[in-house]
Amino acid sequence: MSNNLTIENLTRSVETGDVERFMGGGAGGATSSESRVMREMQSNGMDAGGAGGLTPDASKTFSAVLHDSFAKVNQNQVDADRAIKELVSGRTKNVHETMLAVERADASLKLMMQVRNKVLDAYREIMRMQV
Amino acid sequence: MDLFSSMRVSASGLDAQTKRMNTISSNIANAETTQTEEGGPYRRKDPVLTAQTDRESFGEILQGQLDEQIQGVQVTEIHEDTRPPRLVYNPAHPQANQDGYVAMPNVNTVEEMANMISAQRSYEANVTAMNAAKAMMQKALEIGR
Amino acid sequence: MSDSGFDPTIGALNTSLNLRQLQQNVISANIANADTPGYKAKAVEFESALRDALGVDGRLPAASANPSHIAHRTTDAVHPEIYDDPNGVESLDGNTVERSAEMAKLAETQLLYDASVEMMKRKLGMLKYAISEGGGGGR
Repeated sequence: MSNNLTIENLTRSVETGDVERFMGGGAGGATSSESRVMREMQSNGMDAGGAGGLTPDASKTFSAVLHDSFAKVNQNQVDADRAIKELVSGRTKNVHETMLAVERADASLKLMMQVRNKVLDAYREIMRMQV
Repeated sequence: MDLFSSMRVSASGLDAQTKRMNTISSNIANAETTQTEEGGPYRRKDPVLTAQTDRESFGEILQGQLDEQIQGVQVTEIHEDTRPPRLVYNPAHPQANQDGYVAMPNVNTVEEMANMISAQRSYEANVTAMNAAKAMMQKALEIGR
Repeated sequence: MSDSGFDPTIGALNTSLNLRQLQQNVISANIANADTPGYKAKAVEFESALRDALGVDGRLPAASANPSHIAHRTTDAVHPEIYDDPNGVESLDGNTVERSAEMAKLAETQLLYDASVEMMKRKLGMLKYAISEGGGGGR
């Protein structure tokens, strides 16, 4: 994974908002499953990249990308809460819908957490560099 | 009000149905008994069921925490059927009276079989209710796991 | 029946578990008294009160001047009501319990109770996961 954290890659990722390259997509090992999930989430609307999901969007900064993702994760949590309230009060008897909403919230939270951890690791790695 | 009260209520149901089953068995076994200790033929017995508030939590009632509407069931007495005995013409029978009639118990076997099936179904229903309560309690233990 | 300190949804789930438990007790009482002469089948009503308290269907929860107070007042106010079920058909001895209906209600109550427990597990799991920063703890 460390070979992706070259300064060149980092600056290019920050400029283009291409989080996937940053995450080491394409390299083998533990990160490839995350990038696959990332692609799934993108196509489901998390939109970390552009409209197609894979092409970097030059107009969005990395911080805006993260901001959108946080908002989506929060929205998933709110939706899950609403689904739970509806099931509990008998408004809906569809247990599967509620379970899906809750699992979606759970998965997006976990994904966001992993992204956060990677970002922090990268940050620490950079800070460790001798100037 | 917790699920343990639910289990006690179901247990009272099981108890009542067992007693009911016992009286039904007694009736069927004695369907032809013409002589008893009290004299006369066997008289059919019937359990009397009444709804009773769950006794163990009486203290909770006094504290106003318990809802008296949740009631278990109790067999309060075994009632003897007052219907007159069947008179069957059989002059050769040792118990026959002057007219040659023998007083047979007022047990209708078909009626007893129907009651038996009802008691069995009720017993099964109470078992299901108790299992449901137990399963719910066990499920609650999984929170946080 | 109190809200937990965590999250109003977990408080709502807690209340839901209490209410389903009460419903289970009422159903057990009906089943045990299925042969008692003169016994009227009982039912519990709490769902519409719960819906109001949670603000489902766009109904607003109890208003309060301070918006941060709303979350803590809601589900405590839900009081269940046990009443004689008017839909019961009286049999010869005055008993109105319908065994098959009670068995169906029993299965439904147990399922909704289990569903509430599962939701609570997941919510608490997410919370623990967030607290532990994604390492080790939580589901």
